Amino acid sequence: MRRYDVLLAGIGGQGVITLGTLLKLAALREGVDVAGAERRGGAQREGPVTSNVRYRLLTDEERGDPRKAAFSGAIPRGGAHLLLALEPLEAVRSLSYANAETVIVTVVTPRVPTAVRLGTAVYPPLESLWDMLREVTPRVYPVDLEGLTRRGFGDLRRLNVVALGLASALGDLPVSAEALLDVVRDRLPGFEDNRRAFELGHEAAGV
Amino acid sequence: MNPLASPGAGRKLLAMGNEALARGALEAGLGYFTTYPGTPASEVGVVLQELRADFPGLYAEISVNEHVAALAALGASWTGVRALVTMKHVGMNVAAEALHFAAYTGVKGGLVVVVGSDPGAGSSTSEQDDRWYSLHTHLPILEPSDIQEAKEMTRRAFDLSEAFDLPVVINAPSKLCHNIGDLALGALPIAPRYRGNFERNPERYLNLFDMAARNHGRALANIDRLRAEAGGQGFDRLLPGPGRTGILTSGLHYGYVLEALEILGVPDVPVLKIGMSYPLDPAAIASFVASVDRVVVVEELEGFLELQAKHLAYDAGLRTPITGKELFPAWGELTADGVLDGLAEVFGAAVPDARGLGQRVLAAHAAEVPPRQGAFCPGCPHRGTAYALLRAAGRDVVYAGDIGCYTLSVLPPFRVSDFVTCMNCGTGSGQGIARVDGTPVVALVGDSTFFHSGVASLLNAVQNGADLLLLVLDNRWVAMTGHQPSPTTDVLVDGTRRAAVDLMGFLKALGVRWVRRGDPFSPGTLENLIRDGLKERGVRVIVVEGECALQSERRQKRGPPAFEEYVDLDPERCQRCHRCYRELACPAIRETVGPAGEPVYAIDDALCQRCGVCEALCPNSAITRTRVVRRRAA
Repeated sequence: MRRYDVLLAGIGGQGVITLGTLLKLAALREGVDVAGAERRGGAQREGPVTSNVRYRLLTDEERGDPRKAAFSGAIPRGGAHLLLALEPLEAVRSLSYANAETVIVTVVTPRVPTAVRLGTAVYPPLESLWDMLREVTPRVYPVDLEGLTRRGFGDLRRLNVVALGLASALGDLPVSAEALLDVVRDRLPGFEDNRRAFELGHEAAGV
Repeated sequence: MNPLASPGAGRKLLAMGNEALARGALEAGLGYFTTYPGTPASEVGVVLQELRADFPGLYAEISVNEHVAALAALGASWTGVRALVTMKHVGMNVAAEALHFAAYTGVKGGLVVVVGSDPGAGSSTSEQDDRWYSLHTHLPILEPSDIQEAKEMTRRAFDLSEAFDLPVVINAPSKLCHNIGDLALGALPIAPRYRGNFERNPERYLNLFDMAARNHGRALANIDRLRAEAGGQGFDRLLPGPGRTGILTSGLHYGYVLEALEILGVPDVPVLKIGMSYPLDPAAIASFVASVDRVVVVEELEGFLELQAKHLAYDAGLRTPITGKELFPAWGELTADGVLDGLAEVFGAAVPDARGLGQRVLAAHAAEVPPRQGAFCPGCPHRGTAYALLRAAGRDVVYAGDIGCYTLSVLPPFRVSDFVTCMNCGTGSGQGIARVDGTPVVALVGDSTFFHSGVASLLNAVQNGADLLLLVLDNRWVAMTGHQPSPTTDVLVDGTRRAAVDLMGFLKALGVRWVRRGDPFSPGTLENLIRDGLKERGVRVIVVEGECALQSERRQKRGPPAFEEYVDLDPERCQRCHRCYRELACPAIRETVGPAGEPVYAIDDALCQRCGVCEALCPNSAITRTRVVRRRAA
């Protein structure tokens, strides 16, 4: 059995669930088993949202064993291979799913919680957030996705496709970049721009 | 065609749990559907309404409340049409009166009740375990363990319902309803039954005189027959093993248990997975309990399986210890990690240390990680209302909150809800407080919540001369659950007109003498109107009219924009009074850094909905709206 678990984290309105759906559709296209668990923040804007994307490759023998065939959508503690966060604080909030090998990719633009807005809490400096992440894994990649997307397209509409390209390059996803691009073509308008956005993500990964 | 309407049996697609539930009903030949939307089960209704285009005979409605929805579905079932009614767990309380009769009358077309439960109460004011209802409604319960099973069980539930003359409940927790995973489709029936035939049957349908008692007896006989034949239904699954401690579990926790056993390195534990959690199969329970020295029940919320299993084991003369709730709390969500920790204790096995690294680091820094709460969307009419209300009424009134998007007004910076329990608690309990406490009471209610069950509360207040200021926040949609139409929806997103209730006229007809209309996007005017209302006595109602920003934006996006509009905040004029940033707390107003490194406020153009509230309340005229009307090329 090969497993690959991706945890996506962000806040309401950022498109976390949609990003998870794109990653799952790619699995369907490639014949990889996929399960998921989403936390939707009570259908609210600005609340924490996560999406679990669990990929699995089984042998025929394993598929015939009911104990192995059962497929829970919830990533257990310390189980994420890749943590992709669209908000820095939410990367830290999801740390219990990371382990010493986890690849953490995070956006560097804070979205301040109301408590910080009201002055009743402090948003920690980004460097200290990265340090917290690095206490768990050395594979931490803070990326200025907003700057990158704005420079490439003038606005932020393609940000999640850039993120998808980045995840595909930095993670060891069991789905190919081609499958992800096919899904993007099927699901999102403006494919030429989206392909450029995906490639921008790949290039930013520097791999 | 919607992929969920695909006739292709065996085709695999990606589906949400709620979509799988809907597809299961279609594969069973669903003809009649009702629902009142409620998280987590709302999307079942969204999907079935959309699918009317592909199933022209299918009837699918958004009902005014769960009580009507359940009664109507029962009526359709009596005519021989297969019917489905869905609701959230607390909706069961509203539907309960109807559902207590359903086993008395029995069904003709299969009747299935999908209940979306909310362990952890992430989107609810209660996490009640609705399974207990079946001990007195006598409705069988199926608990799917994954998305595929959600479809299969729903499909089979209709057959079960007809075979045993009982409506069948599908219990689907939020983690199943909302999860998105792969689903293999089954075949669709060639000719679902869309037209029925009601045949008089007084002994079943007239619960009068001694007939109600006899129907009670028949309901009990039906559930006893199912109990006796439970083993033949094939909903449960036994994984045998040589271990002396057995695990009894159901639903999503089956997957959690198996993965936890794998992580803990105790693979050969006997596991009995319950698919039908009411009535339990007495023979399966007795033989499982007899095969081990100890049974641990892994179930979410209260000990429903545990109680039944103990009862059945006792009847079988067994004294094997059966435990569960000592290890797995009867409240809160039982997560995969909660199962892992509990089973580690049961089997004396340690969770591998490396798995806990992230959790330990997070725990060490917990105090540095500020919490994040939800907020009104940019452009939401409720933000202006909450702002104006707090300025007008201050902290010297009792704020009677209610259920809807505006429940978020309970959070800082507004905190204009002092209690929130169930639908229409504001008007309901508010009038009790107002009667015996001298403090003025201001109640909030949304349009859909008001029509759900608030009409009687308001009428009661009027008839009994209560002192109450009620704000009906009419945003024209059941917004929180995904924008189902409400009785005040007059234009759909595609521009179609719809017959809406005349709310102002309706309130006057109820006998409310002081009725006014307010505009949430003019916070100053609304504030004055609320001050006026506070000076009056008796029942006063302000209808605050402002459409949900997400819906009006969707409608506008369908046509070419008539003009472009920009909202700008001039840092030169801004005095940093914080009114927009802190008191209004709109997510589209952000703090950034000015040219000299000083903090400045700015409008985030990507988030701003141009609602104009910040412009209206800025005392320094630092916020301006500019409209650019594009001339058409000649």
